Amino acid sequence: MEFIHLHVASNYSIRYGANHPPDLVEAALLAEQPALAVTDRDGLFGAIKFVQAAVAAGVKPILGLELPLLDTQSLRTATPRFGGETRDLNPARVLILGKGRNGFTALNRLASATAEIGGITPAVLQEIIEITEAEVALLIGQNSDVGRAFGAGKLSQAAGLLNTWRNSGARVYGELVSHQSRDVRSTPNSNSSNFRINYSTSAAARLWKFFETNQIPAVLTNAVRYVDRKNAKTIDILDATRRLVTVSEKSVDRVNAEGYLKSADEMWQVLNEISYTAGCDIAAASQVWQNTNQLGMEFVIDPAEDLGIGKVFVPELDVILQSKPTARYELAWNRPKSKYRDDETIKAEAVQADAVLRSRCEAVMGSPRFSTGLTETEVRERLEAELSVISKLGFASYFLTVAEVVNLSKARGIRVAARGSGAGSYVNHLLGISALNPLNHGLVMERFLSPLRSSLPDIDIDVESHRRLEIYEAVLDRFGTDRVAAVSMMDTYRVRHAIRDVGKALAMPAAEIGIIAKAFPRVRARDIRRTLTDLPELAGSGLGALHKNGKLNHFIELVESLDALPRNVAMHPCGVLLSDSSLLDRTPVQSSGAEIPMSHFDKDDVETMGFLKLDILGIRMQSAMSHAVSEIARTAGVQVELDELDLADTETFKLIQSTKTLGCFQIESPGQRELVGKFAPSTFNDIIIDISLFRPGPIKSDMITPFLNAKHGWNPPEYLHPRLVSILQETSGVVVFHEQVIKLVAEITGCSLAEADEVRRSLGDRDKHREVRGWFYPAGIRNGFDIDVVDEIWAILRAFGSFGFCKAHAGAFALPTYQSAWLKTHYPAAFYAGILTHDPGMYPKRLILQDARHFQVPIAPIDVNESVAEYVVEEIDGVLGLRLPLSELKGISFDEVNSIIESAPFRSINDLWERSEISKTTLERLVLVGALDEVHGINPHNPRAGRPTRRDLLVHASDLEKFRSRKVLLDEMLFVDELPVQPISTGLAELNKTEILQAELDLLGMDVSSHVLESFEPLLKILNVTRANQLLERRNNSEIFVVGVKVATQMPPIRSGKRVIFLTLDDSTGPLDVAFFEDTQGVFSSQLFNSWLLLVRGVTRRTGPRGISIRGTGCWDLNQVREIYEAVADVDFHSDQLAGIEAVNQFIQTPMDFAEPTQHSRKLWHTSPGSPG
Amino acid sequence: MSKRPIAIEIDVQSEAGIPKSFNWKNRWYSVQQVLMFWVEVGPWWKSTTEFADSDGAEITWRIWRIEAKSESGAVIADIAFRDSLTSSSAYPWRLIRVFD
Repeated sequence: MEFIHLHVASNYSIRYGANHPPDLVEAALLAEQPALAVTDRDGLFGAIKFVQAAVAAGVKPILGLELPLLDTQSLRTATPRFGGETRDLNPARVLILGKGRNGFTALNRLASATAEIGGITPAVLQEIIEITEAEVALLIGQNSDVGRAFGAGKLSQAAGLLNTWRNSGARVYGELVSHQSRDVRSTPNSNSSNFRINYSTSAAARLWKFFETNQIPAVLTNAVRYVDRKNAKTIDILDATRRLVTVSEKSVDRVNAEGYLKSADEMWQVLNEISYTAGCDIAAASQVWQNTNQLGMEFVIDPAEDLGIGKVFVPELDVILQSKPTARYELAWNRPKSKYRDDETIKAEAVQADAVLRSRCEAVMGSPRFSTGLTETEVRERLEAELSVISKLGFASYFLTVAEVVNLSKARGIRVAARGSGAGSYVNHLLGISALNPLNHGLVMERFLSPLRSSLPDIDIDVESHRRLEIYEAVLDRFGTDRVAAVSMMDTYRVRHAIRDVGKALAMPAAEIGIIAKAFPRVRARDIRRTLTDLPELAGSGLGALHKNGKLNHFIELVESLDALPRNVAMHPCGVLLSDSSLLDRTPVQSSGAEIPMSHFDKDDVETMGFLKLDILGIRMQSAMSHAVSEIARTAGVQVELDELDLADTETFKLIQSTKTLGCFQIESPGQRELVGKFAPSTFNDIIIDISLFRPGPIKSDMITPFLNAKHGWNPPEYLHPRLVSILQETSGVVVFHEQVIKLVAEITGCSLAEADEVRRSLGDRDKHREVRGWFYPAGIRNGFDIDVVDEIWAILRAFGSFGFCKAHAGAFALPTYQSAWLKTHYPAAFYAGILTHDPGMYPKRLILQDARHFQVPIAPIDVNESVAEYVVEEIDGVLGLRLPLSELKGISFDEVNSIIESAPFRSINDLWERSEISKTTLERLVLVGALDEVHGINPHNPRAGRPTRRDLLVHASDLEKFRSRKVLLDEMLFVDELPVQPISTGLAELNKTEILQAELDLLGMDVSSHVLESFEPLLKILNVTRANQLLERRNNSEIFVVGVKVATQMPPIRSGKRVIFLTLDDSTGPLDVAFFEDTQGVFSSQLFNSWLLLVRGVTRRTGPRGISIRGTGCWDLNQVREIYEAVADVDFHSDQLAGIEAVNQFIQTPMDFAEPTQHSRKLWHTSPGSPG
Repeated sequence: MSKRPIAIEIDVQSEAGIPKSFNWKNRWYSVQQVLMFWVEVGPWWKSTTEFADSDGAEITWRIWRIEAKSESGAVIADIAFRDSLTSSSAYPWRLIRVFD
């Protein structure tokens, strides 16, 4: 006996279904059911994953939706409550199945309609059926408007509603469901939100009779929400969460656990009971059984034919080539159906696209911009090879589309850079998608595009972060809402959310839930048990004890059951999809909050469906460089073309080798600065290698030491075989790149690069090693290599194949690295203006500012007449320096900044107050940081008698405020009053150095006028502290003291599991990096994490000519040290120095438990888990 | 007609899972007719032990409302079968309600 379930919710019915589509498919397979429908609520979020799982398992997929009906009386749908959370209002619903390609189109439109208008009506269904010419089956059940009216005893109303559905053009079926629950009749006046479904056998029997009377064929379903009885509790939690209440008899939908994916025998039993209760005979029951299975088989979806899986859908060639904007539409659900383009049309267009692509490449390849070190024949061969693969795969339109998107961005003056393997394609380079010429860097196309894989390759583009949405807009304008949508992303339950929602559902106190949830690291919900036993801080807690006693089992089980269930749908942070005009027929779309409509499909689905997916990533460094370039143009009149720089500039490499790379892309972290110091990159290729080596894999397996040894000539490089020299030479014999693995495999075995890339991919999967090995050895030996060589290469491939890095990817990263270093070398002021405005890196701004001073870039304070919204380059005392922007002032609003910029210049504080719209607080803060010094001739470091001071200005500011509050009154009385006269000197003292510094730290978050440590200088001398610029003079293994402002702490995960804390300090002469190992952490970690000015004791270790590292053995709050010193000695009087030093020594040797670190309000340093090294 | 919830373990003779006769207060009743049949679970969130097995698995109750007869007369009663996924009981049957 066979049975097909036609009404099944997966977990993609958000907060409703309990099981993942593959689990449902597996259950259907085990129960020997030939086909299975998934009919999720409201959307097709899980449809593609379900179809794939079903096809893989050999179960035939059927697609449907369970959609809410638009309540035309109250027009209510889900309403937000509790800070934006939506509450399910339990609207009536119908089930709709789609047949074939048109049916799938109809489902997409129905889901779009649900998102766009809140639900469907018979009229909406009718319109969609007419637009899509689809055959759809409509299942009217207990939860439909018809069923609800019937259940409430309103028979004629039910019959009337049934008729409107019958006129919609859908095939209407009556749905019989019995969960064998107790028959509870609903009351006639029950409204939507308190309607209780009655899945009793008697109710099903009554409904069947009604369908018979109205001549509607009936089908049997089980309204499935969970695979198995044991999953039933999960939906109680979901019901409560969806309704924002705690679990109770009122909140849960079910009264038993019969709504699971029952076997055919069990379903037959259910049908028998209904039929017995209804007084029907076996023939009638068999008819229902047959109706169900026939409908199911008829509506089976063919993934290729109906969904278009396996084909590629990119914009039509004429749309790509036309340069006029395409229309945007408000609503998607009722757009006309697109014309189906048959294979012939697509093929003809592909031929045309090939020609366009070829001519575009050939038009530019001769120009000097694209010159290479290779011969013309070699270049031509490469182009032909790429074009032929592109043509074979039919992807020419894809490349043209991406090029168009890149051009759209460039036309708006937005910097664009390709990232990832796309940089390996010469065609990408010629089209302007990637700035790097792959021919000059040994990049192969096969890593990116292979004739052996027919899915669209990924091209990720990096753009200026603050202009990313502009590109979305541009793409939407250009290709229209019929072809563009954002990719979606499921936000799924992890342990913290699961604990919160289970806790709330079980009515635990909110405060307790919060404490428990926060005690967990961000792990998967299913890992809760392991975390409770493995994590020392949890295992030792009360929670751990409860768990050990088994008291938490029930709670834990519920948390686990929510693992990976979707919670919310969100817009993917960077994914955009493009399609031909069939987009709205092949995916539902809904509003995303941003301008751009969002598909129901996530990034994997989008790939499966053959849409063109672009990742448009916002990169702050691109914004920073763009700002730098425009500052150079503004101040020096030079138009720098970053993408056309000579990549062999000696000065730039000198800067990189000096390790003074703060602010440079990718090479500014302490670990990278150390590596750069040892490595001393001298070519662009070296930068690519450096970036590839600085990753967890190579660091863990210590690929760096053999590489450096060979590179510096300390050990001879090992190439294993003369035929491999050309492949391994660039990395001195060490396999670093994916591209090298590909070339090695091809060279040894004689296979093509494309095949070699397949081999490389297999190396990532240990299970496939045996198979690859079985092919690799004979092929290598046949190809003339000794077994020893093959053996050695195999050992390398096996070990490093998975660690290697894609050279094209590293190359794409190396470009902004070089560009930023170039800017720092040649236009430091503009560079810092960019970096400080867009803050792309890991360091706090105050350190970057300090770095700027080291590079002789002076810093000018905020000035109401000079400062704008961004950091700008300005000549200060004959040198190019930086002007701080108004926006750095704490608490200043966007509007205030604009009003100052628009009304500048100002003649006085009165003028500023009168003509700009700023608050008193902002005015006072401007005074405090010296923004009015210039206007009023104030020089706090050299106050002159008779001149007002900042303090005078503060007093005056408060007079101005009083005047403004009085002015309202005066205006009404038609008096004209004058502003208080200009500020005068009242003899108030000027702010002293410490006060100015404190104001800057509080209001700007950085020390602008002087370095924080300046006032400590005498003490530092007395304590014989080693400064950063003296560090290289220290001998190996000597104990030293260093001081500094804390810049960053990092705690990278280390293989041994032991924690290392990396501390970066700034002591005004440069950055200092100190590592604290576990033995010292316990005593000093409180100081380390809470103080911001530190005295550190450490031991030096030389790592190379320019490398020296410090192992921390102690650390103290510098402010405290000063207090202790000054309690005994006066810094200025040498006589007491010895006593002071003695006191400090004593303090340092005392255990730490009494030390209370001084706190600082504004965040001056950076904390992160960091990357290794 | 009054409801008397009782829930006591009883001996039941059944055929294909359907009760045919049962023993209550040392008297055998034979089932004349099944009036209703339904399936229930308890509110697990109220008590983790009462409505669940030792391992937390929910217990399903299959309930028959039957008309039964003994020498002393006829009764209408709800008798329930305890159905657990993970454990079986020596006395799975309960008499939970008698209407007389």
